[in-house]
Amino acid sequence: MNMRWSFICVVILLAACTKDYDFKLKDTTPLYVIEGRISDLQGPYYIHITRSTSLLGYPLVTTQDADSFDAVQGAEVIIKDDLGTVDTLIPAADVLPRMLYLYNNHVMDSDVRAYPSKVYTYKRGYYQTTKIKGMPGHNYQLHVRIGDSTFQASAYMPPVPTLDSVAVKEDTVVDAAGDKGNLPLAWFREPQDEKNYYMLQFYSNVVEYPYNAFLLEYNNYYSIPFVVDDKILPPYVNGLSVQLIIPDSYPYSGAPQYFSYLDRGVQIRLSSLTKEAFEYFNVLRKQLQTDGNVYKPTPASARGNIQGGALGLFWASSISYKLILP
Amino acid sequence: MKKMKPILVFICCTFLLIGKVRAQDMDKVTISIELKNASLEEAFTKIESGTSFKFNYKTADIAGVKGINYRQQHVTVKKLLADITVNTSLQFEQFDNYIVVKKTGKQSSHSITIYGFVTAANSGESLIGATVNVAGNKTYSTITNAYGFYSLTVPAATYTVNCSYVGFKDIDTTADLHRTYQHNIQLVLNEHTPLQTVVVATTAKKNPVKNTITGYHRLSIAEIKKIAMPGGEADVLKSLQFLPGIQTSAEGTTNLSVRGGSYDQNLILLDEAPVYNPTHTLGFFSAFNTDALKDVAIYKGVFPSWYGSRLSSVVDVRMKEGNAKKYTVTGGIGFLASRLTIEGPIKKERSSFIVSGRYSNIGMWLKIPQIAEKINQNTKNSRVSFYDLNVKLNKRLGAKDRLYLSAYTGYDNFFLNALDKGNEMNWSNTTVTARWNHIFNSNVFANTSLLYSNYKYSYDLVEDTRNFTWRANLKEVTLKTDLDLTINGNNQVKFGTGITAQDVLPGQVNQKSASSASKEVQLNNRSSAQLFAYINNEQKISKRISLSYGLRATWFAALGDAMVYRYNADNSDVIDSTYYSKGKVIKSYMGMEPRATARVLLSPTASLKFSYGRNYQFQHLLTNSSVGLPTDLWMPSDPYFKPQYADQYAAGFYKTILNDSYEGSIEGYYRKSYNITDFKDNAEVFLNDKIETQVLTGGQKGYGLEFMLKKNSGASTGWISYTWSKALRRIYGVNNNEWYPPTYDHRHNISFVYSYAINKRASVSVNWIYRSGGRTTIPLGTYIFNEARWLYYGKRNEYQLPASHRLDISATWKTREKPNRKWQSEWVFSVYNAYNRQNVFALFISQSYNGYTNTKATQVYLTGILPSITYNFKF
Repeated sequence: MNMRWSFICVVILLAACTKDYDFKLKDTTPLYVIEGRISDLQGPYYIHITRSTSLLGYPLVTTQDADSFDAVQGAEVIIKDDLGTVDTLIPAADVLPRMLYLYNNHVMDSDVRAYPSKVYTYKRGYYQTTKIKGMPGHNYQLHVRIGDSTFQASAYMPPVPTLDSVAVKEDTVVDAAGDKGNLPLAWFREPQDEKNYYMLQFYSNVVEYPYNAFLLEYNNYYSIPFVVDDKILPPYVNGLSVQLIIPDSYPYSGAPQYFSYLDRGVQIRLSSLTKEAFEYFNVLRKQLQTDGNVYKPTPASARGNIQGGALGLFWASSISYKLILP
Repeated sequence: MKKMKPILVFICCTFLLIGKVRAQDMDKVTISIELKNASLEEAFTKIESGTSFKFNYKTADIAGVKGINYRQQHVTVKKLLADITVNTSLQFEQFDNYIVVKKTGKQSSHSITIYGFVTAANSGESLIGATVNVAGNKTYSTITNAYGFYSLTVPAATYTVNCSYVGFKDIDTTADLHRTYQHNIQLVLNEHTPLQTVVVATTAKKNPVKNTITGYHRLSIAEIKKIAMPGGEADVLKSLQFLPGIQTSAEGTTNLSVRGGSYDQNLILLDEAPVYNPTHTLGFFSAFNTDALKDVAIYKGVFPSWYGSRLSSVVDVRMKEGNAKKYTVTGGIGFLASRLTIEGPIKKERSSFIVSGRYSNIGMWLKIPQIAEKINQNTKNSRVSFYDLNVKLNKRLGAKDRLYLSAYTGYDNFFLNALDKGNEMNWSNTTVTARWNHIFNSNVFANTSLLYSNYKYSYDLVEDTRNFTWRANLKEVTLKTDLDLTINGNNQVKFGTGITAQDVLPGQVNQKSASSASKEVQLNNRSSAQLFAYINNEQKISKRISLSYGLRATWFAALGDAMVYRYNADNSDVIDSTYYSKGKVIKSYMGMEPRATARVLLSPTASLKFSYGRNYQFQHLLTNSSVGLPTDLWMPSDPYFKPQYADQYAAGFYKTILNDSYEGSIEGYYRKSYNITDFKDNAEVFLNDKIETQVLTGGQKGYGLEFMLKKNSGASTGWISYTWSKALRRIYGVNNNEWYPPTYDHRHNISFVYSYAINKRASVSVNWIYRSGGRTTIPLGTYIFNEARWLYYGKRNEYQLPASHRLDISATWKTREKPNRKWQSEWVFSVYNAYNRQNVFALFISQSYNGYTNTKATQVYLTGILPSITYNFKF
């Protein structure tokens, strides 16, 4: 018997193999999907309205010009706060004056410029606020009417601790191999007498406006924000690293999960979350980590807060951020 | 048993009558005598040497009278003879100096008891479940208990005592049973049994027809070793999956789902001590080293009253005692694991030991770069290793007492991202069992056990930067006494009582270094205690009808210290809390478990059985996975987790044909369980001191029909089984409170297990299994949130996976035995999944690799065709 061959077979037993499974979901009636965030950064804030699908995805990977989703236009969208402001949202403009951080010749600068967006466009189902200003400690109400259907949601913006300092350091993440990599870290004071939920993010490229979407594009991989509750956080959080969850990344496929842009500026953000929003993101994160449901919980939908039968989440977040310059 | 040569001694009456000598009376002559375990014949010799009397008797008449212990000063011969032959039908008449021994009528009115141990002649291992038949005018039979002990009360007469055990030669002896005595039986191994270390074989003949129990199987280690397994690693739990009514939620794992129950409802006992996680490598191997085991039985129906605390089944695994006659070393070298066992006498025939270890380091192979590349793994981070160690000592203290001390410890270190990307895990089980058997008298056998079980588990989250270790453990101590009481030939009572204390640490977080962005957090321990008592009677109503009925009662108490919260209607907020100090009863429950089985013999080879039983379970496994992870939490009942209980009804027809060489059975069952728990969607389990808010409750039911045809003797042995079954659960808060199928709901199951001994040295075995697909949860659709595509779900377990089937083949080749060489060895060649079927182990849908805008479905399958070689030896 060829020994090496048999070794390999034995190993395959425990290593398990995967293959694509030919599979179609049952046809279901599409649902509306409403998402949006109010923050205490500079507006406008966006509400995004789309429809769900019973397709696993569209055959071709999309660019933001050729979307893989069904945008909903013509909706009536209103956001009210508890101070009496009523803001009727307008279709998102393609070009908006936005504040930019500019990092040129090793100098950091900021400026407000008209900046075209490929993401926040009406064509893609985005609506923008006109006057409302997010503030921690306040409540926000969302009303959406699409044809005969109406949807409501409310969101509270919890306060967030101020980031004490941030840095990029070589550190070990918990990893069987004990690999080290460069990780963005945050230091802040954690109020121990209350229940807090946080979102921790970083932007590898500071030439981005601070109030945009929170999805991180990194090395052509995407990550969703790292959310954490304070269950095991000490009173002084002594360097909590921003954790990346990248599907198919290391150890998923061998691609490094570490932040490695030491040559560029980095912005680190700490956002406050309500329990509701924390749980929502936590479920999304679990979806990214799905690897077969034998050892994982029965998968379930993220429970949003849109009343009236739509998917999605309307949430409010106070944001503290700091820059790291190379 | 010693050979009996019936010799007739003729009495010469004439000689007696003409005797001139004036003899003394036997009620006047005194003698000082000491008899130790003497036969009557030896007693007579002593009397003859101490007095002038001579005895005349038929050897056959007195042959059964043995084991006399007697010590007396100046006792009259008449009284002495009366004393030592009490309970026999012997009478003494004096003619001058001769005492003539006579036997009164063949069938006497009084009953005697024959009792003792049944052991294997070659190793001294006690044999569990051996049949002892006492045949005279009527036939009486019983089977040995878990310690190889039997006791039978019969009318005094001459009988043929027969003892049988498959794999061993039957033994028949004629015995004059006129006096209660201990009759230990040694059985000699049948020549053709493979590898001689394997002592134990299947159920004794006719047992399935005659015993008063439903849903019961016993698999010998020899049978288990014949079933082809991946890597040639014989596996107790996976072998049970070939039996009817036993499913698994994931192929290739040791996970058992018995008659519609979930895997946490199985009580896995190793020498009576519960093993809370009976698996290695995340459920791919069972935690038991087959070289150290003697016997495995599964009760999947109504269990006898002495078992309790789980709803679905009891898997009773017994360790070998160790060869009491000679030292032997057995071992095996396989690709997945290697084993070594040493056993032998400490003091010949009185005490013995066995030490058996197993070690596996599969991770070692995974680190070989070529292999890692082949299976797309990172070479550095895979860790898959385990070991287990079994030790057992036992000592006989005289004829009436035996002591056993057994211990097991197993340990696993596991990280393999192909199976679980999220955790690096360690877990270990330790059990210790100390037992004392005592024979009070021929009718009363007692066993007292002190049991300890400790299950520890921990994990580090991969990719979590808070840098901590999570750990939890469960400790349990039980002290119990069981008594076997033979009241008369028709009633065999077992009763017992015990106490269990349990302490669960549901979770604790430790920083891995002082600079970790985490703090020490420890959840409160959950303590509980149980008091239990049971009584069971096996009663023969008539020649045809036997009943076994009993009651088990358990008082359970959740104990402080603990903070108990009260919640608002939807469990989202705490509205009140109460603190209970240490040892204070927070909540107690009483569980009454009536159980009864009736057997009606239709003919000597066919029977009908009916049974009903209720089982209670005071433990809840809070699990998020369908196979079982070390991170699952065992929770004792408390004000929120009410004890689970189940009612089961089962009936069956059993038949042996062609002179017992085939046994067939059809069994049907219906089972309903209450207070079953399940997590709600997206439950928050991590260090949650209000875990009850994450749990939903409901019920479970299952019904099915099981067919089995088994061939026990001849060169080819094996079985075919078919099960039609349905399992359902209803959890309030899931799937609109409707009944829905659990993951392990497989409608049709067929298994075929066949082995053929080609000659003395070569044998082959083939097994094939077919299962309809289990259930899984798939999304209803997808949607875009935050510029990425996500999944949303409808009902749980709505999707039926494709059916799975697999063929495994193994061949054993023994090296030639040489009379003057102790070394014996064998090669086992096996092919797992011979026709390379890619059965679905898991099906999942996830975001695809290039961005988040698409999702795709992926199937995980465990292995293609997998050949392996194992080398086993013994010396």
